[in-house]
Amino acid sequence: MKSNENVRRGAGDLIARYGTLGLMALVCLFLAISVPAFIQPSNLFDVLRQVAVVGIMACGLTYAVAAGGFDLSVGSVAALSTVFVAWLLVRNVPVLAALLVVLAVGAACGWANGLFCARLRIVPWVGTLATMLAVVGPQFMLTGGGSQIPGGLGPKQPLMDFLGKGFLGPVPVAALVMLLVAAVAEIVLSKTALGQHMYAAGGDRVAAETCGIDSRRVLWLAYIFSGVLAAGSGLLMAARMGLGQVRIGEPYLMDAIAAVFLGSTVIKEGRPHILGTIVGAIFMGIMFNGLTLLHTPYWGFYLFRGIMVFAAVALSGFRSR
Amino acid sequence: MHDPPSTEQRVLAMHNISKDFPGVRALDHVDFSLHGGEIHALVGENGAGKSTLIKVLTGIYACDEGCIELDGREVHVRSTRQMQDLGVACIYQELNLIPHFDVAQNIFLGAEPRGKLGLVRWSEMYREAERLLGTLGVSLDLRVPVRKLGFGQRQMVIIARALLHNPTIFVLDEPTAMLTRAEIGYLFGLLERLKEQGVGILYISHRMEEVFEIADRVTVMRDGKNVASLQVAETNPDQVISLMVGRQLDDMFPKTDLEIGPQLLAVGGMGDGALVQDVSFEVRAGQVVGIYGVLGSGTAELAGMLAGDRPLAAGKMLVRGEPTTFRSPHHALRDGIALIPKDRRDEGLVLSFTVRENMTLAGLGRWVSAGLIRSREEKAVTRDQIEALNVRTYGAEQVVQELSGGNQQKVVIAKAMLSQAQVYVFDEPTRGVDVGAKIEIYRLISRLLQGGAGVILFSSELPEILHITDRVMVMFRGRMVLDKLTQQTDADELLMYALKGEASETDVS
Amino acid sequence: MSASTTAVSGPALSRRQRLFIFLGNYGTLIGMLLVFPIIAMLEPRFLSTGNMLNILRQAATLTLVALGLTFVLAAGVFDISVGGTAGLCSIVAALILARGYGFPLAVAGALLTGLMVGIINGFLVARLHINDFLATVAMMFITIGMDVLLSKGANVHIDFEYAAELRLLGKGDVLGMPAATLLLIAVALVCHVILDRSSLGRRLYAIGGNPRAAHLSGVHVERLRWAAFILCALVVAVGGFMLSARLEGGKPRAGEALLGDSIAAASIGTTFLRRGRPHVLGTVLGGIFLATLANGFVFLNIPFYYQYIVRAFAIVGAVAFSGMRLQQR
Repeated sequence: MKSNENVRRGAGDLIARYGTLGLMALVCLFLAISVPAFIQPSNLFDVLRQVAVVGIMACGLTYAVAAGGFDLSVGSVAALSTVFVAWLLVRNVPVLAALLVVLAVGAACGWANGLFCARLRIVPWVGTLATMLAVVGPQFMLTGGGSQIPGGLGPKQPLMDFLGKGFLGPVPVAALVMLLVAAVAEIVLSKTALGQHMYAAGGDRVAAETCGIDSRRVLWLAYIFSGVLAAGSGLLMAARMGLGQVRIGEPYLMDAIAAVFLGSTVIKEGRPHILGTIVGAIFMGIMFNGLTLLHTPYWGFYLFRGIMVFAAVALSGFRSR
Repeated sequence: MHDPPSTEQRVLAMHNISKDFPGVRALDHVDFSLHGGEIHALVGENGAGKSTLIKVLTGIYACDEGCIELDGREVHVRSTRQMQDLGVACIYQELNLIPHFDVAQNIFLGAEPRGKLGLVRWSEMYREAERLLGTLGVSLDLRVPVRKLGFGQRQMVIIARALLHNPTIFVLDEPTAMLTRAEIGYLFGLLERLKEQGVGILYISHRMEEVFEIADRVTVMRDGKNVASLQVAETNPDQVISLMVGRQLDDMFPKTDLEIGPQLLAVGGMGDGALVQDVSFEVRAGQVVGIYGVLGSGTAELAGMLAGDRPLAAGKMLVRGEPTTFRSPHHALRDGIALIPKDRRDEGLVLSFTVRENMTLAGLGRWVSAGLIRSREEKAVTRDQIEALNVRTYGAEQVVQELSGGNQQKVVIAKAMLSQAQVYVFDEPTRGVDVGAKIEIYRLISRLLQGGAGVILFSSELPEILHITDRVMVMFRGRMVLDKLTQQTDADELLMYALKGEASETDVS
Repeated sequence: MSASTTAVSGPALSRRQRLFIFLGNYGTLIGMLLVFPIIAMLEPRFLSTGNMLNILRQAATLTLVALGLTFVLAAGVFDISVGGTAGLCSIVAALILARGYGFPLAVAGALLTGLMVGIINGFLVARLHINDFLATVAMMFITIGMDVLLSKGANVHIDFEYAAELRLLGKGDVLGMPAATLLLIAVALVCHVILDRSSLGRRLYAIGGNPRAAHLSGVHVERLRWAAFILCALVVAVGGFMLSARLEGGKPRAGEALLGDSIAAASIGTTFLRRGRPHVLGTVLGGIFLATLANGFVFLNIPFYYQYIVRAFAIVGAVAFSGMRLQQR
């Protein structure tokens, strides 16, 4: 029995693996030529800082998709955590405690998604949509019906400022946080048995179960990770804006979806993975930066998001149920 | 009973096992035993209960009666996992692999060597996988995703995974159905080695020559019963086949001598470019044409092509003398050709629909004016059909999901009849229905014939083929290898052609 | 249940089984009806005729959107863009009226916009086989983008000299009934006839129930998926027009809130009478129920945001309870 080693190195395969990367490079080249401000290091670092929020959120979504689910609630959960952390900080809760509580709330949202989609076996799109809608309620509850928590993040918060706006040398702290989170996420997803089992459950649930993998538990955990990371991205969002705002996270959902699906076409074709997701998120950030530099009006971003999701999904070959 | 010489080496004993499904007794007080270092073949026609028996053994089904002993100790089967831990490994027909995982990942799926923090010890895993495949004598690139492997290679991955846990009982469910000759030889070598190591091997097959090549003992099942357990050395293929085929169906199928009418459908040189090649035959009114072939011989694909579900790459079709092409089942139905699919639940019925809605789905246009359904007429037609076909249901508004297999099948047939079909393509029409329903389905076929219809019957049950059809054809590797009047052939000949594609020397003499 | 008792016809159902079937069919309706006395006990004015009619008026917009959704659900697909589409259609209608082109053109504009969205959704899902949820999520954002683009992010004001019909639809009565309710009844009747009485509807349900079996029974699955998305978007467009009438103009991104409401209404509907099957009567009842709750919340001074949670629970509960196709095997 001979393996078809040489087939694997075929040209078609190269395009599949690196085609998206090439496309991204072309876009960057175009931007660099047409908008000189684009390649300024300060601008590039700024892109990275902006990417951090989407990047972390998309890492969470990567887990849900890898395990065979989906998570439409990530944007909403992030918005909830901006509001909740602001609410806590305004009430003089110590920063670290506030951060932990918010992450725990994110985990709880993920747990609920797991309950709906892994336990009750509701289709992930509908189950997580319910969570997405539900967490809008608590946001307004905390603001008392307004759109923001009055008082920003309360008294001066050095840690939050450092996370959201700080720099280490030329590098924004937020970008470093994203890279750290991504590194951990990558190790868990691709180096541990748990990550293997997530991929297995997402690849073929029946096959995974015949090998003794508890696919329900694995999927449930993936939703919890997704919830925690969504909450984390919300914290970064709050730190950057210096306030908690209702429904601020929803547009990021699209960016995260696009990042995950673009990412799944990069290097390891065909399945979502963290490195690809980060590449996808950075690409989305560059595109947005370019659109801003080209003075695209606000509605243009919505159209762009929709089109990017079509393109990413079509590229990744993610097909109908 | 042909009992083993000693019970010490008996690794498995199943006593008095019974299993019921709605409307069918799948296993009827079955006894079965397996020794260490033995290859025990389990043979029988489709629906005889082989698969159900191993699903009871591997813990997928719980049996309704009886007990299972492993190494002389009775076990209460709770889960597949438990049986795996007790040393029962099984290779199913469908290969449960994660397509984008590589060979080593698939072998160790669920059993990865873990280090600190749950990190997988990759190098150890690949080393172990290498070693394991080495002992199997297989060379495979461990880092190739399995979706790029051929069927035989995938099966080796599954076997390696099964052997990872050092099983004492190794079950293989028709492992050779999709393998090439060379791969089969390879597999048999492997089984011989395992046998020497004292593993008890349960080998399910319906290929006689394989059974006689490799097995030590053979157990024949029919209608959910263990008909006989024999030493292979003391029997011969003819005896086993006659045990498999068993009862006579003459009285079940009321064969009335019908005038064979005009040609309804003719196909010439039909092929899909891959699994079906150069098939030609015709069907006349009042005639049943049987098509027989083992899994993978192209019968399933041929049925799909006749029903417009698979495109033709070559050949032509004539319906009542007029050339035609089908781009979808819609066109086939329009031309009066209706498929009664093999898989009722997945392909035949909308399970959430009522009896009425299912029955009228294919011929719906008949009761529609200006886009609206004439519901009174629809209801009347359904009621008549329920009565005529003797469908046991609370009424036309019962959801078909709640009906038994035989009655569901009648609904599917009623649907085809209400589409005013003239040629009925039956694909395994009696699979998974009880004997009573079987007889009723045969009577229905007979009635269709009297009404001037033609029938094409795809079946893997030889008695059915032999007693219902007027003409029978055998497919082997996508080609028609035999085409005879049914009276002029017999079970042995059909089986021979289906398994080998030709008559053996002994047969010619 | 032992296997030997099945397959035989007509064994009498036990009292408990019958109760169970009854609750399965009517449980939701009973639950809905119980809400009225509870709210009324706390706040008697709730039950006044004026308020009841008001509830019906409020129910119109969301129920229309939910009716659209009922088509796609029946066909076994999903459309997350309904809210965005309703908003976009509303803006288009408002802009046409604001420019003084008149009522008929505004209706036509809204319907045409809906038609376009439906065709694109159908193309993406039925033809390209892109996952229906992802395709329509993306479409949601595209419709929002168009919405903001056309409205320039500002409210669209309409001069009612030219659009008395719009005010009638939004606030007025005809024959003692809110005009909005009459419109809803008319549209619901048409939808009911299509889904329940026509061959198109039967085939939509068939592809929703088992596309493979439907295909083998001669049903054109792809064509019918197109049809489902187009019908959905057209009815949603009517809902969008109704939204303009309620707002007496156009408000950017006003449609988005309708997404959750319409999903909730349609999924509540599936628990009523025909378990697991989306149908028009159920959707209408679900819509009225949600409007009743929203109205009752106002009477009881419960802040609006609790509705988000109620809605989510309604969706999850209804889907889990009805075993609708939105549940995986």
